[in-house]
Amino acid sequence: MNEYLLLLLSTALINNVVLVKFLGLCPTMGVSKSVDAALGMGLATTFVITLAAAASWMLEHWLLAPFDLGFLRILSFILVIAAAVQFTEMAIRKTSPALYESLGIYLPLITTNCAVLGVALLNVQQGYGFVKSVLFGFGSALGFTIVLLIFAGLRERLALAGVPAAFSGAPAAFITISLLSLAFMGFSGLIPA
Amino acid sequence: MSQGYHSPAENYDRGLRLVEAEARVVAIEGQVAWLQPEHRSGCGACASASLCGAATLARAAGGGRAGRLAARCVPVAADRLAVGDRIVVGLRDDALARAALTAYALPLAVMLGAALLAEMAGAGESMTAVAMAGGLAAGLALARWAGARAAEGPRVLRHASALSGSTGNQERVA
Repeated sequence: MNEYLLLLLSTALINNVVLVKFLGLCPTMGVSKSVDAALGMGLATTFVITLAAAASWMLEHWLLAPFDLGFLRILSFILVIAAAVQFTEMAIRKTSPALYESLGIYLPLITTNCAVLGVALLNVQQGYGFVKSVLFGFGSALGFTIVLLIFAGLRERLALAGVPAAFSGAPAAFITISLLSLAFMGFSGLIPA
Repeated sequence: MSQGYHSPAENYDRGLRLVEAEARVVAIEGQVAWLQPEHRSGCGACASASLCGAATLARAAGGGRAGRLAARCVPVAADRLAVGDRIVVGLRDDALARAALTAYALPLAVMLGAALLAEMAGAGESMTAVAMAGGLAAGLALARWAGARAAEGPRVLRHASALSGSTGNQERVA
């Protein structure tokens, strides 16, 4: 169990998918103007990345590796991710229609989020077992959501601050996320190698 | 859910922060109005919409029975609305955050819990995957039950023509 907790801590904070691996920057910049939208997008992405991690592990170990079809990996993973997004869209439409109407517009964006494919491909490289792969995906997605929420909170405060005109908007956002990236470097010594 | 209109001033006084969206009234049955959301998905909203097959299908299904099935049933005072009206509906932002947690986090937690339990019980990888799928199904059923219990639908704020440029933005109603 300790091993699993360390894996979660490592993927969420130390090897953060946004601030260390620089994946998923498009939704990080695009859907971080309000905390509520960021929470919805972050949770939706967490759901999809975890599902995609599980599905891509099964695809890799039960189909691609046994039949030596490694050249189809990227193509089949993209298909799996698109299917996971469609499944999520259907499930959310059934479970929470109000949420679907409000946040449904973000769901198609997840298909083109490179963090989802990146995490699935990194998972294969790591060579983890099933549960570790799923936790790797979940931890990465958790890190994505944490960064999205912190960044959205900072941007909400920045919108009310007296930022000089030349820096307002995107420049202030880029400076803020670069400082956040520096701050996350502080986690790098948390787990001894 | 409260019925009828709430003026922007009333909402402001009660400190409500609302996520707003535009909808069209497609039918009225007694005291119940059927609302069709104006932007139901990101598909068809991008620059390639004119070339996109999915967007064309969505447009084709937009009216008639299919559109009616996709519409939401919202009880409102029928004397204020007519078929074809475009209105602005609002949803409280805390309700939205609660719905997001129920719909996404609950199934995920049950799914991960089931997988970890199966792993700790010494199940093989195939059985762990089956347990995870079972946990996902149970989590989705639980989320549906919890979502139906705590359901808080959107409320009608005003006619869309009364205020322009209010689509899909989160703003303080003032």
